[in-house]
Amino acid sequence: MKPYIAILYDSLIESIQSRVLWILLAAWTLILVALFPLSLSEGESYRVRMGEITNAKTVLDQLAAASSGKGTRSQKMVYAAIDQEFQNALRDRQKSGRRIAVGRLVTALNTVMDKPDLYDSDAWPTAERRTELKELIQKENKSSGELQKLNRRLLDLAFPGSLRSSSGQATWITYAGMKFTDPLPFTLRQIRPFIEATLFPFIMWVGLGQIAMMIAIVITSSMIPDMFQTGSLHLLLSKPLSRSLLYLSKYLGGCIFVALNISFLIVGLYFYSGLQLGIWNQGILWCIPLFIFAFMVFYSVSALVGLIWKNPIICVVVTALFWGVCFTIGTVRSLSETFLRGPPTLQRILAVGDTPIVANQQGRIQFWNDKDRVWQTGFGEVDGQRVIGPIWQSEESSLYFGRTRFIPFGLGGGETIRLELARIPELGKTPDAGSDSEATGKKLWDDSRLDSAPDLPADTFDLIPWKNGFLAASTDGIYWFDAERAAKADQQKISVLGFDVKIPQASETYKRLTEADWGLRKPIAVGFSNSLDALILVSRDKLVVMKRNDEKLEKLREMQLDIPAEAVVNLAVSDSLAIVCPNAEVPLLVNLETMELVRELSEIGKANIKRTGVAGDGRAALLSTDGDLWIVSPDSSEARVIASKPSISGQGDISTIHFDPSNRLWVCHNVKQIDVLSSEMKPTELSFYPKKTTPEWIYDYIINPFYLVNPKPAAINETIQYVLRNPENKVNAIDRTDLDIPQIQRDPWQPIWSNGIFILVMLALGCWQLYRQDL
Amino acid sequence: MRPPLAAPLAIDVQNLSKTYREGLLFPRVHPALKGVSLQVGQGEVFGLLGPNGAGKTTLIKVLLGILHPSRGSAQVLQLPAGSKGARRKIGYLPENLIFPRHHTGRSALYFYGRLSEMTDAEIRKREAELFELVSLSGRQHEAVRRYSKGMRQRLGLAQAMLHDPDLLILDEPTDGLDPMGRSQIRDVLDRLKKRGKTVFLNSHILQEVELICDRVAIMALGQLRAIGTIDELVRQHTDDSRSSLKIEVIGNTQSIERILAEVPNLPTAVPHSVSPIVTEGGPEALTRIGIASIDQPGADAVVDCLRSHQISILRLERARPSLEQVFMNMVNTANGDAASRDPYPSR
Repeated sequence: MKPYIAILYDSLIESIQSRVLWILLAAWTLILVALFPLSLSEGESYRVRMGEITNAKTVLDQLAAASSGKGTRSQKMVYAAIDQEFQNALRDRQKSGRRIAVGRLVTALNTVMDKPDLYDSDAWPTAERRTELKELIQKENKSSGELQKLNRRLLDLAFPGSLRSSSGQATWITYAGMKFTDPLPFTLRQIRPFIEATLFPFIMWVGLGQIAMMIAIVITSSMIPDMFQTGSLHLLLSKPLSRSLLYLSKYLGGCIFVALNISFLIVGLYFYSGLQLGIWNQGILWCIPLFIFAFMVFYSVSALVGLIWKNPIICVVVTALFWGVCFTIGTVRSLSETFLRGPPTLQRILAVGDTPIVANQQGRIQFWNDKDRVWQTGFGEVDGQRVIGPIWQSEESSLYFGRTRFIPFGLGGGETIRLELARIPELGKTPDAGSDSEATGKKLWDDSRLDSAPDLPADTFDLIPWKNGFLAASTDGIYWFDAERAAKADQQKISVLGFDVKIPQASETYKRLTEADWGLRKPIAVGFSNSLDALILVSRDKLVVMKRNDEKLEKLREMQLDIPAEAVVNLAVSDSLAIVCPNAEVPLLVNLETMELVRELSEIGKANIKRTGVAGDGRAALLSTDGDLWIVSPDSSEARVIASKPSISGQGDISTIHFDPSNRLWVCHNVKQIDVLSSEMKPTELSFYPKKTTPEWIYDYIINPFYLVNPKPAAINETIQYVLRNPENKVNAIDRTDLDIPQIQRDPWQPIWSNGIFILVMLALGCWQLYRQDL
Repeated sequence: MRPPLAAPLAIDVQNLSKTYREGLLFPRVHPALKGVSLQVGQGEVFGLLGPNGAGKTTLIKVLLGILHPSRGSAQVLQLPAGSKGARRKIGYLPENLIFPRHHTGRSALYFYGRLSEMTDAEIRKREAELFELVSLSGRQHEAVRRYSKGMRQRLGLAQAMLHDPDLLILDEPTDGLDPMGRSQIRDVLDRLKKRGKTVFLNSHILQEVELICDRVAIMALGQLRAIGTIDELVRQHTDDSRSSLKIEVIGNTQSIERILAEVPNLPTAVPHSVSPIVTEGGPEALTRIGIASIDQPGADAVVDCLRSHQISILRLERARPSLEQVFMNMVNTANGDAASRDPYPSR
């Protein structure tokens, strides 16, 4: 046996013979034994559950009415079947208005469930027409389950609309076969994704990742300091061993102890999950190496401290401090990122002459304030909203943008999108209007420039300048907003807080240019071809060219694309070429005249293109969600198109782009810095770098550098979530038509790399310390 | 100070110094070795003597590579001290050896054998013989935590000998052992000596060193004070012409003192009474005379004088100077030298 293997083997034997190990194993066994009877059992239940009563007041009112001989016969039958006490309570409610709790109603209705004589053919005349009920009604000697099913159906019929009908499928949480709770209204199949995606990672990370990890750190803290007992260390050092390998063997020996514990517990949990919950998830077993790895991160600190101070208490204290520091830095960084990196990031740029107008992720429209070197918010500080546009209508000198209204948790159905219209006549006239207008003395971002405008058609996702107005592309058609007509249209006057507010009527201002049923469904992307004077749409896997005919858009050509139907697509149209960029696929180049696929832009590879731009000279810019910019330009010499990734500052961190009419490319990087590149992709003198605010300065120069060098053991949680997720559990994907919504697609194995490097650094420090130390 | 025979050197230390630095902000330097040079030939049993804190263990640690020397060089078996190659050929028994608690005698032997790059088969071949040698046969399956200190020490010796090293470095091998245990260890060392192994022994038990070692070195306050065979040291560092004289005579102390006063030029004689012994004629006083240093004519004069007064001499002992005397002389001289200096200069 090699000497180092002998040390590892010795550590294993030491672990096996240690009393602490057996105490811990006994503790884990107790936990598993206590957990084992906890199970989920599936079955049928027709009992009324709290959540199934959608309108308790109506039910109570109807029962009360039944008590005084009113209401339907079925309700009267139910009233007669409920217990006396509840009947009295109902009467009390009528007389004195005393409230009855929903829970009590549930109990009362459930007493009815067991009554064998609830059914009455006169009271429920339609019941026998239902096959399911007919069988139950006609059956003699019904089992209690059948009786409950029948009575439940009768209850559902007696209180339509107030009682949600039960599917009968239910799952109980049981302990040793005993049902303690009301059944959960799900099947095991429905609960499984929740257990695997949420519950298991939570239990794993909190139970094992935090509690067991702390126990492990305390127990192993003495292993390295013990090595320094003079009597044993000197003998080890006198053997032909390298000090570094001796230290590393001892370190791994400590990990063996923890590995034994973690393996025991996790294998126990694996069998528990399989045998009791029916979830045989291999990912649980994958957690064994991951937790050992997480422990190795902390133990590398503990071991180094043990080497320096040779005191187990200091090891535990310093490791706990390290834990705290990692946690604090991680939290501070993610909090500051939430405030400083996400919302202020510019998502749209519109250049009017040399003046940029930008929209950020927060939904704010901002102008460059050159005096203070800041982005100045105009037209209302409204947080958490999505901006569509902005677009500039030079004829009217108007800025248009759509802004969604914030509706918490998506309650209240489809979102409405308000059209905002700001009149900025100075911008259209002079190429550089500056921040102050000499004519009016008004700032560009002055709120008073806002004019009233009607809501955009529902589900509008893009605005395209068109004639003297714009086209609003929505999921149910293309609408034309004609500014002239809107101005003439009668405006509805309403009074708000004593002020008259004019609201133009939407139906009159938007003219639908497409057929009522245009056959296109989400996700849709839209572009405009100047050379064809046609609108190009990609919907699902179809590419459609629509030509304007009078005041209608008619389908000219259509082509089937070989892309996944549900893929969110971005589109860039350059003359007669369309670049179709399906999410996470290779962009395609399509000839719009022949409607043929020219080629796949394989040089770009599979990419998530979130923004496109097309210059007047035919170049197209594609920006990926990773912040990479690609320029697709026609190569005249070879009569083909080439895609290249220009080397520009901010490449890899670009949040948005815009081609202006003079073919300059406006590039936003590093949250809110804008560079303007000439048509040769060279930086021009025009750039907009806002001053750093104090919190940004602290983030850039203190928090972020700290975070980068700081190990991130907590990030291993992401890897654990990744291995526990079950690819078979397809959770309905959120319909993401907006790729600007930050999509966190982190590499699940990245924490292994970063923490692995940390472990190596700590161990190298330990080896160096041991090498130079006099012992 | 080369070993007497022109044998190849097992240990060659040249001008070795080691200074400890303590404290981070205000470091204190403590010189543990000051320019030590010594050579040990192969096949020698060499004893390193010195009071606590003399630097003996520091020297051993340097030889094993546990400490890096501040100055000077050390070679072990013609290899740089501390190198892997050198350590392969060394068997080491540390002072206050602690075995991990989970071991039995046998598993500990296997563990340390594996660390010495031995195969299990090789260990198996040697284990019975070694347990026999250190008198642990039949006890090797017991947990070491139940071993007495002597047993642990003997097990330590067994592991040091397991890989049949060319050089054994033993740091206080008989420390804490009963006379029986010491004798066993001495036997083991004798056998090793016969097999031509080099033993470097560090001890403060002088009698033991005197019995086992071919040559000794005496260290005090980090310096080598003397080196040589025991006879050489005694000859060099004591006055051989004068030695102590012990005489036991019958008679009371006062009368003996009176008689001794007649001896011309007698150095400090310290006669004193001891408990009376019983003779046929009844109890009689017994007196023991001790004279620390006296030459032969002086001793003759004392005996002549006592006999001339009909004093019966029961016992007479003319003691030879011992290693202990040499040691005490060396250490006292060193302490005397150091008394005028600050032994811990701070920087």
